[in-house]
Amino acid sequence: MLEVRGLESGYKRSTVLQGVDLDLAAGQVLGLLGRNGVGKSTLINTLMGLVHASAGSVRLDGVDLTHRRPDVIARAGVALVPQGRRVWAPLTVTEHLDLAARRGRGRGPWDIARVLALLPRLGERRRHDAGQLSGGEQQMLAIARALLTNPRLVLMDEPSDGLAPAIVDMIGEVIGGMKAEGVTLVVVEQDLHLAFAVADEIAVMDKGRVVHRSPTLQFRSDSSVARALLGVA
Amino acid sequence: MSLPVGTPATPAAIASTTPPRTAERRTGRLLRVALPLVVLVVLAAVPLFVAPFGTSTLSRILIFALFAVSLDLLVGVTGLPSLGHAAYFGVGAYAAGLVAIHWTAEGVVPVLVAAAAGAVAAGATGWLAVRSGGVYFLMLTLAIGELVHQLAQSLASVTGGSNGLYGIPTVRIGGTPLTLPGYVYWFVLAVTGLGYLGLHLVASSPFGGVLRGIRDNEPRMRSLGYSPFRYKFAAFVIAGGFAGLAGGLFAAQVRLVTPSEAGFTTSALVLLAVILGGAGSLWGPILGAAVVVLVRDALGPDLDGHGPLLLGIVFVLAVYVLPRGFAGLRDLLRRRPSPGETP
Repeated sequence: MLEVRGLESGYKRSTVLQGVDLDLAAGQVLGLLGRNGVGKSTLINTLMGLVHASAGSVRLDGVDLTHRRPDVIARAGVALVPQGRRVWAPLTVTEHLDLAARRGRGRGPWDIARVLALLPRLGERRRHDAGQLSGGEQQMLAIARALLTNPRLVLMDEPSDGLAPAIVDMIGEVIGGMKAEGVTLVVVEQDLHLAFAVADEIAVMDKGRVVHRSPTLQFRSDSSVARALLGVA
Repeated sequence: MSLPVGTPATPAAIASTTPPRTAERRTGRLLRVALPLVVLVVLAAVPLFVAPFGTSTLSRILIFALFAVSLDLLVGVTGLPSLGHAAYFGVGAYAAGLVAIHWTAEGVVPVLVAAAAGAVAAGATGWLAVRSGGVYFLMLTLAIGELVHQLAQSLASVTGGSNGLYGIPTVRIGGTPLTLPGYVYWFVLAVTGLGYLGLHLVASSPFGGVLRGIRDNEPRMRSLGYSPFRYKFAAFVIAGGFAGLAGGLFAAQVRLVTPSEAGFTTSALVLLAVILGGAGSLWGPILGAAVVVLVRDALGPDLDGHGPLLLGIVFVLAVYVLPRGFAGLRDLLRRRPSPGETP
């Protein structure tokens, strides 16, 4: 479904991605790990078109998305749950859902009722401004916003970032629910516990490349890889 | 590895936050409907009690307020601070004046033509302006404003040049000219009221929601699949149309249009009104416009033409005392937690 070949990108004079190759099958959940600064977020943002690719290619179901604008990429079926949530603080939960649903209506199975069934907490908070929500609720709102565009591929950048462990578990359950619905996901995570809980496969990045990939069970059983690439036992 | 970084987000903490109370909401809704009606009734009664000078000053305030609210759609709702919005006000004023002189002064015809002219002018210039942002947008709109100002000066055969376009006949309703300032005021009040309602509907529609999304985080809106250009352009054209409508009312009320109506001073004053009133609220700029017009027209003559100086002082004070304008006052009152409100 997703084919990334030799992707290079970066900011001004520094090249962060040094030739990323990545394949993803429909319905698969990939956990993307790596130390700080190895290019995980840059990869996500380049796939979304928010960072310009200087070389290589990105294809989604055979359609070339390499140098497209983010709105074109979004309409092609890619959605982003950004790091730090980035909800619109002055807009209410309902306004957020409406904004996203207007773009995704009729393009897939996700509508507001179905998203609220997955994320019932948001239903209770519909009238509140997003800025009044807790970090966990904002994360759920960011997920809802992405799902409502009826994407074929969802990119999640550190969904556990800044959240209490109990909330991280709830986010894990939500991702599990998305997976059960057949959503294809790339989840960038620092929290190994969450990544192991949701991902079918683990990919590890180092110095702007994907340097390791294996099924989650295998990755967990072989601690040498984690130690070498992530600096953890 | 995952650390609770400053978020009070245990499930218990989430569950304990209460939704806004329904009684409070009902009062809020009632206020939103009742308050504008009361204001409208009071405003409609003004000519019965106030001298003609006061009435025509209030007409000017209403016109300037509609103009300011149209700019607020750009500045406050869409996040596009324009320094050339007077261009469309001026275009509307000239269009209405010319229609009234050469064709008909009947009722709303000149002001509707003015609105259309403002929208067309905004469409012709906005497709370029909204492609930029920040300082570049400011500079481009400033340039557009100056261009229209210069055109108004140099096309003397059409606009009357620096003498202005004069001899604009009085507004007529059903063939009867509105000779008394009170009648003109009612006409202005009706049109500005409808204009304000229109802008309010635009801002509170789903389209307005997209504009606010673009204002707060454009890349995020792109990531949802929205193309910001189309929405910003549409907002620019709508704002230009309502500025043109205000310009048309200006021509009907003052019956003289000069190039300065399209000039930088007018653009700067209307932006001042928006900032004084509180950008993004739509109602705040009405109060801002009142302050600007009162200081300039009512107090200015008594101050030996030092009105702008007083306005400058008011502005500096407002920036320090009311950083979010008059509209910020209401939030200050509302956000202060009353005892017993804590969950």
